[in-house]
Amino acid sequence: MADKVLAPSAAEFTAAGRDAMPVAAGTWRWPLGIILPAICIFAWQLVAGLGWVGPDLLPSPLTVPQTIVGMARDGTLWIDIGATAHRLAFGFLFGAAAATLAGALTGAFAYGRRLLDPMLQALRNVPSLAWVPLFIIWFGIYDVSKILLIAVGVFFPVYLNLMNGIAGVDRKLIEVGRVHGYGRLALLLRVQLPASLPAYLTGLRGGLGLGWMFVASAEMMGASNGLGFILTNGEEVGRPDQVIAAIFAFALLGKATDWVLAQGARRLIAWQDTITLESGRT
Amino acid sequence: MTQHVHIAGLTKAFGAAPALGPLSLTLAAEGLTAIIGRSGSGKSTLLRCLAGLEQPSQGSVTLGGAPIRPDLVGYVFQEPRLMPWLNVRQNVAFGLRHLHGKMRDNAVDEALSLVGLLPAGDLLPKQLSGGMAQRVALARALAPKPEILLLDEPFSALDPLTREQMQAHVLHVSQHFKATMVLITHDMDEALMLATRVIALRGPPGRIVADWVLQRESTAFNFPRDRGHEAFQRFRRRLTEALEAGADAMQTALPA
Repeated sequence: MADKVLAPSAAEFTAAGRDAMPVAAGTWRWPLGIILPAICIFAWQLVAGLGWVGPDLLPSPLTVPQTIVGMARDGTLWIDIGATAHRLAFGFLFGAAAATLAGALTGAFAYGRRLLDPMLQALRNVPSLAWVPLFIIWFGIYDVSKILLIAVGVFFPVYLNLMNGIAGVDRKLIEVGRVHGYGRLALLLRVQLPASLPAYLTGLRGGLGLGWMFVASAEMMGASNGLGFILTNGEEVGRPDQVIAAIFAFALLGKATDWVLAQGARRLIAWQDTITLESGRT
Repeated sequence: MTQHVHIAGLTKAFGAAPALGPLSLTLAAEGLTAIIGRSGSGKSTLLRCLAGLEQPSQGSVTLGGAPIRPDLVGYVFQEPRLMPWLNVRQNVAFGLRHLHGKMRDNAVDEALSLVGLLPAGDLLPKQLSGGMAQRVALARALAPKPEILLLDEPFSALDPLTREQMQAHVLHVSQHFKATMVLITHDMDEALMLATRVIALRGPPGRIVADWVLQRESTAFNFPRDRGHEAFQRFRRRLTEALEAGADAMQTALPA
């Protein structure tokens, strides 16, 4: 009897393997996401081409790529992107590292939550620009204050998502750890942190998005390079094409970094049994 | 492996609401004891006290005279409760924290073989059927070779066919694995088909209203069992009466 019962049936494996089937490689889907931008650019061209708005306020969409190419040729674009990326990378790393530590402490330990969370929740409501004078007084107008401002922006989404992710881990999984004799630290490392990974990655993506916003703010307040500097410089010299070029650069780079993070996240949480929004598969 | 589990004067209350006891009994070092009762009769509370997931309000639970250590207990919950980020092998190894390398691999192989899932080691929980997932949970509980194996309605979420298959797995395990096994169930047929001893609880607070060592009661309970046997049906009726009436007289063994 035992052998008959214990052998897993082919049907069982077939049913079980339903979600293991790979997505057909090279499946092409109509890129719906480009429709809206295409309509916007068409409308923009219409408004600019018919002269309803002067080129000193709204240049033609064709002017913007020319401006970008020009900046790329003379090398300023790469210097500015490099400066912005450098600030963002350090701000993101510091902000995410501090948030990870604080989120783990407050999520896993009630005392940690009672000690830290009230203050952090209060600080979360401080407008980002309110930090600027203080950082400039303390650290000067150079990169340290900018990086700190970006780190503040990155910190809160990562912190909140990780804390809530850890604190919200299914009690049933924690009980499995407890019946196997796991202590607090082992539970945190082996159950709570892995289980909260999806929330943490959501926080990192949110933090990166805010990092892009904060780097623009930081550079607009006083910098001699960076995409934020291109924005303020464009305003000062009356070059809306330069401003729009910088906005495009922010949008494209922000989307690209988010895509990279999302791809990494997708691999890390491939174990999740959820609907894949991007593919529509279950 | 020859130690008995002693439950002495055990009570458990949640706030002012008594859930269990006082309850005293001894569980043998081998064989499967089925604990049956209606919802709220304290079955799961008793099991959670045995596993250390609940602290008794009064009384004690010991193994061979000492408090029960977590590493001596295997627990299968109502749901598989597999770690979704770990594959089948890693889930089975979850309870083998003190083993490493080859020894851990061997223990995982052995447990997976016992439930017939050795070929499924690389699958993730989301790729498993309900029955397979519950078998992985059983393997995870068996892998550390616990002295006490607790099964908390492990078949309740399964369809009838898978349930029957799982029952056969548990029967196989109970006959090949030397441990004190306790099965919580609502299902009288399940209790009478699998157990060597049946304890009926009625509550709250949960108290014993029947306690039978089946093979002592009737030769009909020698394995393999036939649920169509007249003695099986008679005990089923008596069990129903015990659960419905809660007669204290049922605590004594019933005539075959």
